[in-house]
Amino acid sequence: MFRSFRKLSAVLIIAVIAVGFVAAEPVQLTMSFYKQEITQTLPKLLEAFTKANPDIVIMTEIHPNDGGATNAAAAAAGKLPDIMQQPAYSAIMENAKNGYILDLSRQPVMSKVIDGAKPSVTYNGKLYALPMDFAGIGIIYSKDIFAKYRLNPPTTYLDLQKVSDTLKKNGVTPFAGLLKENWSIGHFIEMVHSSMLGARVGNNGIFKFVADMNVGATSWDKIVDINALFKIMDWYKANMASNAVEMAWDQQQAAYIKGEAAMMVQGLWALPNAKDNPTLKSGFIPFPWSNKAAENRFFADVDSTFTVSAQSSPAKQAAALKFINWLASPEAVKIWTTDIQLTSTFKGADVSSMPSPFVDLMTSVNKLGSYPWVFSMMPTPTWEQAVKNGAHGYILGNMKPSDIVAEINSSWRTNYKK
Amino acid sequence: MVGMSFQKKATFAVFLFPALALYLFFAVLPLLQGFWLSTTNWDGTAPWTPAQMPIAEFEDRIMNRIRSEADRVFLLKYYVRDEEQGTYRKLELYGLDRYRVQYIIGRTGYINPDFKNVGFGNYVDIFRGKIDKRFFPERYRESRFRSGDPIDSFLEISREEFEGNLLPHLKTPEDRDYIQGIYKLSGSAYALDRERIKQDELEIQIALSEIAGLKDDWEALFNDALAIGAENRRDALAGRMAGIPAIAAGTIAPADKAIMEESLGQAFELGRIKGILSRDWYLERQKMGVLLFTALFVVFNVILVNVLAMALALALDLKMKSRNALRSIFFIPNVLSMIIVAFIWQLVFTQLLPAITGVDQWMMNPDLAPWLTILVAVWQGVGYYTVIYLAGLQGIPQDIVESASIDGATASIRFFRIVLPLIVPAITISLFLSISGALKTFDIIFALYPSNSTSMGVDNITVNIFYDAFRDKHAGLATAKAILLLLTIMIITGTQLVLTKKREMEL
Repeated sequence: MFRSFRKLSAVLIIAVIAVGFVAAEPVQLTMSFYKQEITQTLPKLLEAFTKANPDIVIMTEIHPNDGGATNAAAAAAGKLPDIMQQPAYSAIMENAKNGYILDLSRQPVMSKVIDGAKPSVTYNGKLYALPMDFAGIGIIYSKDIFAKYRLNPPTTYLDLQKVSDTLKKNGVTPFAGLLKENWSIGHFIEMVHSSMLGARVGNNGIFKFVADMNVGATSWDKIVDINALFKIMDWYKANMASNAVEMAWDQQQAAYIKGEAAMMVQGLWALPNAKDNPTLKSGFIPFPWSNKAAENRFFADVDSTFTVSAQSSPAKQAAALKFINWLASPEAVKIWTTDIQLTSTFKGADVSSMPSPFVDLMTSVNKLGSYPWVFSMMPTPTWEQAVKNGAHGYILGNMKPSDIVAEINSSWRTNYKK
Repeated sequence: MVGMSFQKKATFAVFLFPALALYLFFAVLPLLQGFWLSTTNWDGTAPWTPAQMPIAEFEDRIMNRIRSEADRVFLLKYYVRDEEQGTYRKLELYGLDRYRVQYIIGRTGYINPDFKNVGFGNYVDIFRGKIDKRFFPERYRESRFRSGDPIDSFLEISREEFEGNLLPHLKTPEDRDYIQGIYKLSGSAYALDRERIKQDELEIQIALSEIAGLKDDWEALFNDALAIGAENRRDALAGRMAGIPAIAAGTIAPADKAIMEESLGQAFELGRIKGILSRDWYLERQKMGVLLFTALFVVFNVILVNVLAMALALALDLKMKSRNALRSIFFIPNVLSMIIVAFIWQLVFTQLLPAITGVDQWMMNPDLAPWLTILVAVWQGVGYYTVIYLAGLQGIPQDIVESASIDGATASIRFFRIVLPLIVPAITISLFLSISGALKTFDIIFALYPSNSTSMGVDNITVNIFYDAFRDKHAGLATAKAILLLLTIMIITGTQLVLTKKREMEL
């Protein structure tokens, strides 16, 4: 009787544990992301992860454009999302410095990241984020329009001016504008400035320039010919539609897709979705700001990264780290490159299934090299206020170059924190 | 008597005390905390107590400096030693424990350099103007031409522009003679003499780039010719040409040399005219800055909202069949979410108005932007105040109005002598709400100009505070501005209440 009772008790205990195990709530993680263009495709990645790890569910929240501000407010309240998609460089450094994100140096996934991507997430010798995609900003152009007017993709600034002239004479707007918001013109001014800087002092010189700007040892206009830079800005605006300052993302996309404009200076995040526009064929080239073709390289660098909040509970951190390490799996890399359509920073990632503009980017970068994203390395207030609003103010006519340079110098020096 | 005393005590215990306690907790305490933050250099992200700290540093700077064992034990409840990270990491803190952790760490002398006390430094900086210059009004010169603009932009200059914004700014008689010589009045515009400026920059560059002997030099030569032209040093141009290796070596064909001289001569002329236009063709303008825009927004918003609301209320008070429907229609904008309101008006400004008027630029026209913002705010707010005025109007005894009418009082006399005095209480509350609301406006501007209000010059004080705190990472400064805004609202609305209440008493 006693033995039977013990057996029965054991069975009951096992059953209770089993039921408890089966009924256990999955760990629910929150993930913030700032890339609006992946809103439709990101769920596929997360669903694949949950399928492989049924005990973990990831809910997303979008923090577009003002992601830094939203994260700052969440950090101050101790409520950071468990996983955060964040831009490389400054955002990572600032969060690492404040102790808001975990050191990922020892995570196995880090050994699969290409070495060139690691400086963008390194703070005090430790890796605080997983670099995910390598992105370039340049000219997305319509192959159909170029073919129609027998134009070749320009490789020098003179070629670009000739192409634009031909387009205008044929009633096609050269560039689809996006001047209603400040970020695209912010990218443009930084792209030309960094390219001019890189052509003059090389990429190592760019990193030295950043270090010198951090301590006020140089100024934004010391190496680069600022008059030439702003002259290119003027030319760029003059080659858009007359209502370009009223054009935001949607209008830019529409103008390019409808063929009203032949080019747009953008990153490949702006490449129109091939599924929705099956007949539209695009190419991708570096913005040829120089008349020396070899100096015209993509403005490209690590773009998005994933970080893990240090404010989450240990159980959630463990689950988040599981996700971070899963991202290098073949399945995840395939979804990342094929469905989400972003390049990968993992060694040996197969990007052959990506649309041809991505191949254009990787081919050009491998052949000519690239200029790094200085805007990601400067203090975020300098980028957000002095550069983006400065460049936008210039386009709107209420800022002059000397004011913009002075504000960038002053903001960079005062906002840089070691 | 005893009953009354008990009733008072019960009223206090049941109603007043909880209300006071809630007020202290949700209004006074955050205000005090805000004032404290305004005396710091907080960037809005740095933690007051460390979020993570290397193990050795944490033990040296924090643990070894805590005298009480109980405090040490308490602190370790919230700081976990993470061997893998090599840090002590703070767990999520709730309630009063948060303050106790702050107190314990504060006593160790630990101070985050990005979150330290700066006294009244933020206030001093505001009053001394040592903050972003966009905060204050500023005069500036709007260039009507920039060196990278194409030739189309200066082929013809309207007479008004030419005589108003260019001629008066020319510095020397030489520049004046040059410009007046090269532009001739033709109808209502001054036209450029194309005999002197035959080619644009692209044509010149193409011509130069096709000269075989100038393969590596043409661009520098072209840019130098533009620069020499801008400085009007014609002699220097010949010297520059003579210095080109291919010229010096005599390897350029005579025909090419002629093309080169013609092209560089044109580049010189272009450089000269562009130099003058980019320097001297401008318009003196005024940036309102955050302060002046806020004042403009408040003044026009309050006046327009109240006048229109009053007019609508008077109209809706008439005995019309459709008045109930009209009341609903006018109130609807107030029910809509601000995001919807912004979306509707963006469509109007970017699609409808350009189609009707043929004018492309509305929202992004810096001259129009402040007024469009006020227009949307008034459209959204007027229905609410109409309801208040309507309630005031319906409280007026009709017999008084009818008696005045029988006595021969005209409509305007009835309005100013009878109606207006009797709805002063409604005016008092409407003014109070509209002034305080206008000073605190945030959503309309943020929704209409989500990432460009700063460059468009339509940041009011609350938007500026938001950007200071969360974009520019000056939370301490932003909080100081918020405290000053609170005081401003209290002073303005307090004065308004005293004045209008006094008027009510007089009536």
